Amino acid sequence: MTNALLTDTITALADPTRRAVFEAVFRAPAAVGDLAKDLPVSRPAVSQHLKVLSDAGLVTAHAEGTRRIYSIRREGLTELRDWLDGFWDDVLAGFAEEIKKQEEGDSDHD
Amino acid sequence: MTKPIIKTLDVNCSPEKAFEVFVTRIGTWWPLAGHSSSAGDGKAALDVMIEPRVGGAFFETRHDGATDMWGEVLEYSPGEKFASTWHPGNNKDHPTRLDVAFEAAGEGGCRVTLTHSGWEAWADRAEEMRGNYNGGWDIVFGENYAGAVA
Repeated sequence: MTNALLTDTITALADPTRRAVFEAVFRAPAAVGDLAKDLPVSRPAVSQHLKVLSDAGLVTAHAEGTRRIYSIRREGLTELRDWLDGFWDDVLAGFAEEIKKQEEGDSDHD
Repeated sequence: MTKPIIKTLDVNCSPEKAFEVFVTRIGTWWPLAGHSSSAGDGKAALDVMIEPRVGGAFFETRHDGATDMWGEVLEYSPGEKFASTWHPGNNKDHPTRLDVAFEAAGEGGCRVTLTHSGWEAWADRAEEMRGNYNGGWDIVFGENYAGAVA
């Protein structure tokens, strides 16, 4: 996941209203009108939130007749989850660095 | 059930060496400034140590000299396998499990596989805690971050 996309993803989900839109789509794929009915948000606002979520790779849309149905993009969530597992990545990076230092020999030590 | 976190890493040394550095010299490479209970106070920990025996302690020496128990050694097989409970930060009642396996891979190399499992110890908070595994949901969605990016 590139840093730019990661920032978009996190920014997209940091807004509580947009997160509510995302959660609704997560529960069931839906059209803008259906989402606006169930949420305390206007239809244009829902559209705008969906656009941000779509740009961040978190939702995707397909056409059904004249309606556009939004659903979540699972790959987007996987990328986010991978990043959230960063604790052990950091720890292992420290370990790998130490092994490298040792293998390069004592001449490189302080 | 909440899935384990699994990380693999290939290093250019023997499994024996990789085990030795990982377990017996953990204090030299662990990110003490960012990943310790001391880090919560904004200060790097002084050390992390693993007592080299089953039943041994896995612990941090905090910046103020106090000890924070991270876990208890469950398996100790040099060059092959290390396992412990994992409950840093006063979470002794909810121990998860850490397994680190060392296997020869390729020409003189070693594959290190780290598995962090046992999230069921957190019952209905398992997903939240797993997600929290640093850089977690609290930080991502917490008010500080939301404020910073608004």
